[in-house]
Amino acid sequence: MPIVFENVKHTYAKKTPFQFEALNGISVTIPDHVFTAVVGHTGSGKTTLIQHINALLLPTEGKVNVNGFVLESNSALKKVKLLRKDVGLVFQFPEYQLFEDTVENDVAFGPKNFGANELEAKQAAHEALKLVGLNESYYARSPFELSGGERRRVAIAGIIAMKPSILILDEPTAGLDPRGSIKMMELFKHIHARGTTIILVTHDMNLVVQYCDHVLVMQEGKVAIQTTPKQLFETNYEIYHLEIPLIYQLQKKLQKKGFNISLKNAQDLSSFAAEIVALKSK
Amino acid sequence: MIKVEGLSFSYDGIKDVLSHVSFSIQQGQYVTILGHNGSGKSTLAKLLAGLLPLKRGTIQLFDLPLNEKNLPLIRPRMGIIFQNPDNQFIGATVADDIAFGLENKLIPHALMQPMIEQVALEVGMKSFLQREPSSLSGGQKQRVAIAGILAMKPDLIIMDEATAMLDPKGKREIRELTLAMKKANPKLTLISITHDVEEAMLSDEIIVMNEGRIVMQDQPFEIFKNREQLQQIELEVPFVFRLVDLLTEKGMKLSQIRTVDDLVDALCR
Repeated sequence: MPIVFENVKHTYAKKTPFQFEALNGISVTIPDHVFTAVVGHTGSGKTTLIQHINALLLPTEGKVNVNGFVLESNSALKKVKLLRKDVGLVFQFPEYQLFEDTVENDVAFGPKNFGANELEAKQAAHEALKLVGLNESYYARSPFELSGGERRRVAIAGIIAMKPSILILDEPTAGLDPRGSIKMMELFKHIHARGTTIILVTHDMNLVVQYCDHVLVMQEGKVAIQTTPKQLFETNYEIYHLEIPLIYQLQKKLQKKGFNISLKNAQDLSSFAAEIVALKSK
Repeated sequence: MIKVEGLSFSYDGIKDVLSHVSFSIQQGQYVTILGHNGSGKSTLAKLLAGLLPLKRGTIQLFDLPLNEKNLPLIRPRMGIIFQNPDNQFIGATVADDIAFGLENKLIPHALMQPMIEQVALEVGMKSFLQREPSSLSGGQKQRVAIAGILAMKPDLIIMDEATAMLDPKGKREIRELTLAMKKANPKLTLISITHDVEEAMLSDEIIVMNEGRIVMQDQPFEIFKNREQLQQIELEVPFVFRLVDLLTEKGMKLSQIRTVDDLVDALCR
């Protein structure tokens, strides 16, 4: 089922001098099984938006429809426990949230919390760890002796172990080196291919072009536009003050000098290069 | 100006995170240290700043060997910017924060004021002097940290992944400021630790580290010529070179492409 926001407003610190409208009337549908990017400047409301999807925040006004759950300002949080199992949210720098003594226990915590018995929880943990590329040798190790990239994988495995149908990622590659970032994104691509809906909050437009099918641009608490990455960067991206992906920067420079190359191959640099060579040899 | 010889370091006494590192950097150079997480970059920066004890090998800064006796002479001449902008803000306002170093140096208040204003102007934060840190963006906080260092008139600034936690706008601000600082003071030596290859392209020289060793030191264009070696250590190559490789592979003849603009010119010729 798609995620539907209906005229959602969210106000922080209401009725205080610090009152701040983070979401300002959002009506948007996030499609099922799609790899969606949420982009926009710091402070545009990206993180507030995604926290509504697993009821970490409730709308001040309006409602959110997620997998049959209707979330409104007066929704009882007890009733949304099952929603939290189905919507996995990976925060920024999730490696700071590890707490168990071993990797296995840390990953098994989520499933146990949602009622799995010891054996089931361990099985789910092993599957999730395998998916993020950590083998048996990690099970008994302390999460705190791992590298930053490995710790982040453990934290993500902890979410995946609950087998969510929607996985939300808030800047999952922040602070990773390029090699780590690519491995991380390939992992999400793989999880997406298994049928999981992925919502990625990011500042990296190169990732948006390379991995996402759908993009929401947030601006001052509103969804300014939702479209495909290709459409976004081919048309009026300038008004959103986004960084331009490197491949589009090149294309625009070429275009200015009369070298017209399409962007149908923007997701794959090799095909893009092939198109340039073909055009050049004409 | 900076001379490192036979430097090795281990945190646990078993595994070396730096082994036999030797290099030198001339005064006024902007040098990037490039490498993966765990390649020893940050350990090297901490050793240079005297934040870790020197055990094996020698470091010379400003023609003085780095040791306990010389540290008080060396430290005031250098500044470090760390990754997390929130961890290095100590003042209640921007002006207080910039003043911290000057107060430590016992500069009289009357002299301090114009100095603070001058450096705040240099980093583009003059209109923010009375603001609280919590109301600033990540890029602005890093600019304030840089202003605090500039106020001390350092000969050397080390930036340890100073842009890693910033959004694209913050990254751009710091990148532009770095180049502006170099322009304003050609004698200033800058060491920037990063894994952003596009940023590394802007520097005069790159030192590539892998598994605690220096594998290359050269100008950016020369470094990125060694695609095979870079690939072996799984280090990313800037976008323009990746595309040039693919075009060459597909039979196009290109030479001396250093920037995206060079490539555009070559294609439109």
